[in-house]
Amino acid sequence: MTRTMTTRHIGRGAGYLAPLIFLALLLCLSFPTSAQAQGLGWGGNFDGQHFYLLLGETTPADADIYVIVNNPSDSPITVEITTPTTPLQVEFLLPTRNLTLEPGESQKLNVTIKVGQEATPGDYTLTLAGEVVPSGAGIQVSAGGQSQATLTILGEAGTVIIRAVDPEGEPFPANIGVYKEIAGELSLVYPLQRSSLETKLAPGNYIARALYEGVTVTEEEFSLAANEEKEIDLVCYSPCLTNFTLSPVYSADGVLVSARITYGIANLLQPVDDFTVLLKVSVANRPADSAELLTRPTLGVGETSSGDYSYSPTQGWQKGRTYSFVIEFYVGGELYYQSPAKELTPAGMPGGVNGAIIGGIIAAVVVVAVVVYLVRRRRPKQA
Amino acid sequence: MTETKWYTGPVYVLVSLALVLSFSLMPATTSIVSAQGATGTFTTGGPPTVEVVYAPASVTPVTEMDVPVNVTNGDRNLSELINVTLKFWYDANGGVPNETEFDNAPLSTQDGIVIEWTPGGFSGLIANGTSWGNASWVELTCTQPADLNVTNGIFWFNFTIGKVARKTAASAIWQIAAIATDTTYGVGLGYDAEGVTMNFYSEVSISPSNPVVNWGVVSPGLAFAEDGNSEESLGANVTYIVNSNYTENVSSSANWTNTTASNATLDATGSCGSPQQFSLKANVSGTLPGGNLVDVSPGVAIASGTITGDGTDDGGSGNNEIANTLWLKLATSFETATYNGTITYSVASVA
Repeated sequence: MTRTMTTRHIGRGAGYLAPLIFLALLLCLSFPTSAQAQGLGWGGNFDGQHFYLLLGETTPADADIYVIVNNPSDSPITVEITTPTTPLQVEFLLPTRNLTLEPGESQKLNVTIKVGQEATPGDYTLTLAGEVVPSGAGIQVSAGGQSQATLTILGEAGTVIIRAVDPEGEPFPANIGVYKEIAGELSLVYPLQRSSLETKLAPGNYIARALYEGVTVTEEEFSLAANEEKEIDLVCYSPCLTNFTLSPVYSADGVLVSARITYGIANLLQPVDDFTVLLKVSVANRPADSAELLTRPTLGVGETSSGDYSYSPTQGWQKGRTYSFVIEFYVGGELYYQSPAKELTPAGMPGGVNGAIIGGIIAAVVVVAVVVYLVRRRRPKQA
Repeated sequence: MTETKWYTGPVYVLVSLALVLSFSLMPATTSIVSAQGATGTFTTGGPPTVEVVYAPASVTPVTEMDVPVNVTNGDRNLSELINVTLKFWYDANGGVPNETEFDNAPLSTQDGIVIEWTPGGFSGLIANGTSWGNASWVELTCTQPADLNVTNGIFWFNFTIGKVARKTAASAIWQIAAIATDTTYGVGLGYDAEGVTMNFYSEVSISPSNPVVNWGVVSPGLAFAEDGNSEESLGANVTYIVNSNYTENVSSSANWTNTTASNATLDATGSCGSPQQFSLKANVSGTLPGGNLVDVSPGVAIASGTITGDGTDDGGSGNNEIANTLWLKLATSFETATYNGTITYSVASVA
């Protein structure tokens, strides 16, 4: 059936000899009898990396980027290295693209990436692939391996160094991530690194975040300009405050009733004795109230606590004045940590309508009335 | 009212007597001890101090690790140690380990190993918790301090990382930690504060070696069809060993060459609209509807899998695909020749 159809179309492509043409792709009718296997082992740290390079830039000589090529089979193999998805003006510098490995032998190939001056800024997928070079003729089947990484070519960039440190400035064993808000969601723009991170980034706004065992220990927003070099120390506390939010609660008629504070605490590294958490409230920068959120004789490693607290001033809310809320940790009676303040300023009028606006409207009506009155007074009476 | 000073009354007398007695008795006690001539030695308490510092930030399966475990046994000799035990294990959450985590560290070819030194020497590497079935993990030359009659020394734990040591992602790390146990003063724990990340590793084996796909003689205009001339079994087993989630990829050389005619060119769209174009579909079974059009490297994924074993008792035996099938399509204009090319089966890591 197939050959009949083939004959019918042959005249268009192969000329007048078409009916006679048959295609021999291969006439190897028997497979080798050897039970030996051909194989390729492939690995290394190139896979999954994200490189940020400027136009004309090359990965640093001490970057230690590599692939591992291994021969797991029982005969020598020749491996060809290819870079199939390399964008224009990007070059892989490899010590070799063809290597022979004895059985059981591994080789480490150091990888350098070079971006040309004429490259187009953007995000690209880089692939390093290896395949065993077949030794015979015909349509050969080969074992291969591949690794992929991401390359962001930057037209301009700043450099940021981010460290996770404890309150004494010593390294803290957290992972550091750099995030960017994209389409309303935070996206990790640089793979997590342990304790410290240095990278180039396109100018923009970012969030540096320290994570320990899945807990966000602390985070900091930063912006980076072209050619700017910025160093950020993320100060990590243990115990740490994992959550702190403040929400005003209004009555049905729009009157501020209370402030709802939610909090989360996690102890990460060492057991802590005599641990107390206080909520402190100040009004117009003057201490006003204090409430105990949590107290524990001992807070164990890995222990977490969360809750919420409803705050209402005993003497009622003072409209137009700013209420500041901070959470403080005390260990053995000593202040260990104080959160950034969260603020709430009760509106001047119930119902959520701004008093200034109402006042403005009243003032405008009065002015108009006065003007009308004055105009009428000055107009001469008709005889 | 007369005020009585405390130092003029009976209290004063009692306090004075007590002080006199105290001062007179203290030297006496000392002299008694001294007169007895008591001698001897004692050791300070506290478990051994263990330090583990491993410099590389990441490691790769089938490569070697040489981990120094620096033990100080207080002011006691190292010969008083019962054991020095190294564990190297996958920790999904990262962080730093404590004794409980050390005790509960997983033992498997994918997730963790242990090597123990005792005064009799090193135990051998154990990855499955019960026997020596370590798959591709290999203990190399571990060494103890040359002199155990000192208080401090380095125990070197030397081994090859197994092929399916689980790749790390996100917060996960491989912890490197060790304990040392003193006969009297208990256990000291030390760990590398950073741990290491484990890189991707894959292995593709094709058996028998050097297989050839033989379509025999086919005609121009050959269409994809199940069970016809288009279909060809790979005729070889493809075995995958991978330390992460992965896809099985198939790629073809862009050109199939020959000695008498024009090269054939891969058309990854499957249309084969121009002379000398060919297309391929591949599947891990003999079912054409599930087949995928083959492209040049890095190829097309035809199946996916999760971490898979390295061929021994507790490591599993890899993912063995025995029914890989290919389908060939040719342009209607195709020159007669015997063509040479390569079809590559490889693995790509999936995050």
